[in-house]
Amino acid sequence: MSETPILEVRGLTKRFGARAAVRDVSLELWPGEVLGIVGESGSGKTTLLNCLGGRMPADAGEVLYHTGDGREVDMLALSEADRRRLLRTEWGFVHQNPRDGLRPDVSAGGNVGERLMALGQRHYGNLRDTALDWLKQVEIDADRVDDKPRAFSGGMQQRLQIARNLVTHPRVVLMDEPTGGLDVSVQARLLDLLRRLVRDVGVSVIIVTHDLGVARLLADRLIVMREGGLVESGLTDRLLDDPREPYTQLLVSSVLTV
Amino acid sequence: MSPAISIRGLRKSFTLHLRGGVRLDALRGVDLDVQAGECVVLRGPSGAGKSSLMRCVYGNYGADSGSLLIRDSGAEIDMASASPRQVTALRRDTIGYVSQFLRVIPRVSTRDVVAEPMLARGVAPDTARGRAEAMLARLNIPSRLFDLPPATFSGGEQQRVNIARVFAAGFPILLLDEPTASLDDANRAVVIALIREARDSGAAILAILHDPVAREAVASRVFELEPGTSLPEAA
Repeated sequence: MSETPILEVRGLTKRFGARAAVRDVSLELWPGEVLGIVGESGSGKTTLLNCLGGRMPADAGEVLYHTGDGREVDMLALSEADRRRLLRTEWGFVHQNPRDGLRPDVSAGGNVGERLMALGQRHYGNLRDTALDWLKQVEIDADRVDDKPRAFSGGMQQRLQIARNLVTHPRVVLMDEPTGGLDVSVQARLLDLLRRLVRDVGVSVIIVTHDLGVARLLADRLIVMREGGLVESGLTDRLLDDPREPYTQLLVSSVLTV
Repeated sequence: MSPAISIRGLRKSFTLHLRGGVRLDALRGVDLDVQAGECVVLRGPSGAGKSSLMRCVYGNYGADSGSLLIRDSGAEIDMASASPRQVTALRRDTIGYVSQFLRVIPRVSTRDVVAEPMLARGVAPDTARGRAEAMLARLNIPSRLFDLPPATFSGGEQQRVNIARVFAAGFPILLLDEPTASLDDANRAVVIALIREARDSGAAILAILHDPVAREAVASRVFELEPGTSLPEAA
């Protein structure tokens, strides 16, 4: 229990004009933990994720990250080059729409190998072997390695995007509604895969979802957001089974159970 | 030695904000110790807070006030104020909970559902799966079902998978909510034997058992809970 968080967010605020889309949010992410951010559309959860992932500048706050080589850096205060390097090597970002996270004109194998090449790996045989291994891990047949992602189904594209992110063994992965656009049966398969990969790779994950079922299955802890602010946080099953705040009670009671 | 579970002045209420802020008192000042090697059976009418008490001990419900000390390899942790990470660690290493219903994970095989708590502790996959199979076999789950996810199993089969998951891993503290409720006589006997073995090898056990045969067979003593105000139906 003596270890420190891998990520500490303090007072993060993001305004669009006069409106605060994210308002003074603080959170911690611990090594090996899956943190879920739940809330309805427009609650600011995706904006928060985009600020954390360096995809959008924040207006105030700190994102303190403990790097793989033991430094503490404020991701928001780093130079653009340093931030990009860290994001490419130690972080991953899984988009809701796999097309935003894949290169459509590059083969499946190339999509997986690209981040490795960015880290300096050049040996074609090794890259291809690693790509094939990862395609297998995300349950894509090896004979699809040379196909372009546009020939894949939505579920396959999403699994490819996950392989592309995890191949470099990132320490932090941010996921924005990764099961969002998928059929329920495909979702179940992806959820099972994510659970297994997160455990095996030991990565820390922040996952944004509006689906409390997904949150219950994947997240160790949950944060509830509403109108840009943090409403309630806690252990996943306690937050869902014993919600305290009126808004959390409303959110939990609105779910259809099957 | 200090008790494995030591509860003092535990209060738990629910404020229903969507129902005009109605407050329901589930537990109004519970004091209870459970020693290692002891099986305490909770008794009381429906709505007396038996399941709520158990859920507080597991950290599934947050306590309003009072203390809930859990002995964890020498140290004592107050579940009433533990951080989420402490609760997670206690659940991995110390407290096993057999809930009334198995929460099914889509697509995961029965073998892996049972092996999972061991894998979370770092037991080698082959060892964990071997122990999982042995425990499933003892609970009369046919081996042809090991590869299937338990979603389609009968209620009694799912309950046995739930029991196998907790007993295969082995925990120094066990919370058992109606573990024999939907079992036939033969399987009830297996579960009674498992509980007795755990108790006799030093586990501290808190159980809800309406079944008088099972209660008679495993209880070291009975703890009566007074009814609080009635609880809402589970959503």
